[in-house]
Amino acid sequence: MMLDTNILLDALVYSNMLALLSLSLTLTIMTLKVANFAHGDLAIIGVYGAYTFLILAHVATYLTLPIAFLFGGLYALLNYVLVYSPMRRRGANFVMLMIASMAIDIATRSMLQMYADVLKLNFKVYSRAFIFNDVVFNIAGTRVRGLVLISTLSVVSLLAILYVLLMKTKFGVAMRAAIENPALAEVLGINVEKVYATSWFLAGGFAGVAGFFLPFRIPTSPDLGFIILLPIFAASILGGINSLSGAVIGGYIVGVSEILGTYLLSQPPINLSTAYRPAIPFAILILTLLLLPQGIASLWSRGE
Amino acid sequence: MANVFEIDELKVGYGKLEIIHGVTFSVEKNELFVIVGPNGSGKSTLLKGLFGLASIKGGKILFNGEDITKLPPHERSKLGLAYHPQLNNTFENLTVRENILLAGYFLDRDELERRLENVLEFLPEIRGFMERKVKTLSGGERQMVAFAMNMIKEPNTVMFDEPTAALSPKMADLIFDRIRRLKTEYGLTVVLVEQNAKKALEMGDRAMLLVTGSIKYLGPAQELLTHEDLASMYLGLRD
Ligand SMILES: Nc1ncnc2c1ncn2[C@@H]1O[C@H](COP(=O)(O)OP(=O)(O)OP(=O)(O)O)[C@@H](O)[C@H]1O
Ligand SMILES: [Mg+2]
Repeated sequence: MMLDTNILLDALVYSNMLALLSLSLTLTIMTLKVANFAHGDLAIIGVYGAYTFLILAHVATYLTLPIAFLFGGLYALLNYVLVYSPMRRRGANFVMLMIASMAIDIATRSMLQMYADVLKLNFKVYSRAFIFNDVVFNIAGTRVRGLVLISTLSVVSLLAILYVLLMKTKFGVAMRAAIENPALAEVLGINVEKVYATSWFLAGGFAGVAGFFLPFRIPTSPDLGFIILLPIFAASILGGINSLSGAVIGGYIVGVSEILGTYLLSQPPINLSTAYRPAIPFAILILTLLLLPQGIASLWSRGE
Repeated sequence: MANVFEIDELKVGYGKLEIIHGVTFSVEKNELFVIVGPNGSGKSTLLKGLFGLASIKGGKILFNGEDITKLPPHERSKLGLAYHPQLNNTFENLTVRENILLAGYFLDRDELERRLENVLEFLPEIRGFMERKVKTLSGGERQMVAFAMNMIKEPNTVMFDEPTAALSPKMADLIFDRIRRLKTEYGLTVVLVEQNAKKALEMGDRAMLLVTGSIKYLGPAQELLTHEDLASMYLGLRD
């Protein structure tokens, strides 16, 4: 059997999204030690923001990408300021924060459902199961789908920006310090609240960008955020939960395995239904916890 | 009378728990004030109280004449008070340089460079591992990094919590030597909590013996060292 290029490119696009989502989930886990069940919703908030703008402004679809970043980021910031930060200051533990995130997930999806109705009634557009039409770029004679090009460029540039911010700026050093030891950072006079709020904004923005690419691949609806949660967690846990680079690599491993695995298993002689697709990230999740509980990041950070 | 600390009936604890039960003492300017006592007697808790990291249950702290009882840690730090914690006093995943720069977060570039030069002159050993991550350093090297992090702030008073715990005698002597020089060469006031009671009392001016949150002795350091009962009962010293 032959893998055609389209499947490989689709795996790349899906992995790009997953890498952004697992990276941003990991960033929030590192700051607040919360397993955020509303993380997928940030992506959906982002894409609904971009879609709204698209309906209102009739611009080229890709121009609304920054809007998705902004909506995802602001919504995450709001979550942090209104819910997680007050809970942190009152000493809430891991379980309490997790339950709060479940509540936020339910509230967010209900809100999106209502918003979808508003969009539909006011603008007479598809507000559930909507899709974005792609464009084809011609680069030096090669035709490249916009989704492949833009999603890859987004990942590369966002990773580069995050790297420079964290490793080369004073604020980045303060950010890493506040993540590692908030008490000591506070003693040194660093505004830990500000650092955490910034991390949440960035994480939400990254998730929003990932969400923006969803309607190019699959019909997008308010509930999609919950459905994509499993592969995101699988990627983050495979990456080692506390490692940003691990999260990115985890995203690519889970993404590629999911797309190629589903394809290969659906071919003869196995002919498995593609409905079994979620079993792949689930299997990765379980195997990681059993065989490499510290994730792949432990493979390279051990010797440091 | 120039007292750096005037502490009156200070009670310190955590949550509902009271650990320090109303202590009254003062620390003079340019003094090396030693606090000793058995494990769990509340030495760290007292220092945390003085720096604003444990909750004050009563009493008053005057620092250079100013009431700091209710100030948060970073405000106390601005007044020239520095605190060298017993545990977790450096960021493991950052390099030594990053740790020190972070401690000088609010200084502008030139001022930071100038101070860094001074600190490296005082602790030249650090030059050898400036670019390494703290988690790759030995215990003594880490203590020196924490020391440097405080020095970059150019404080007037430093409180050390067991800076020589678990260090080799040679490394402990080096740290003690630098602490002594803070007082003699730089004119700083030092509060030193030590398990290494003999060494600390030998170089200290005055000392306090803390037992279960209360003062058992307050007076000249050398006198406590030679105090028959107290020295052997609480500090395991005899000679
Ligand atoms: N964060 C905390 N919450 C509650 N109790 C604490 C806390 N930290 C310390 N204690 C308790 O306070 C008491 C005094 O502890 P502290 O650390 O001040 O003693 P210490 O004299 O510094 O001991 P050591 O010589 O072992 O460092 C101990 O009984 C300890 O269990
Ligand atoms: Mg202690």
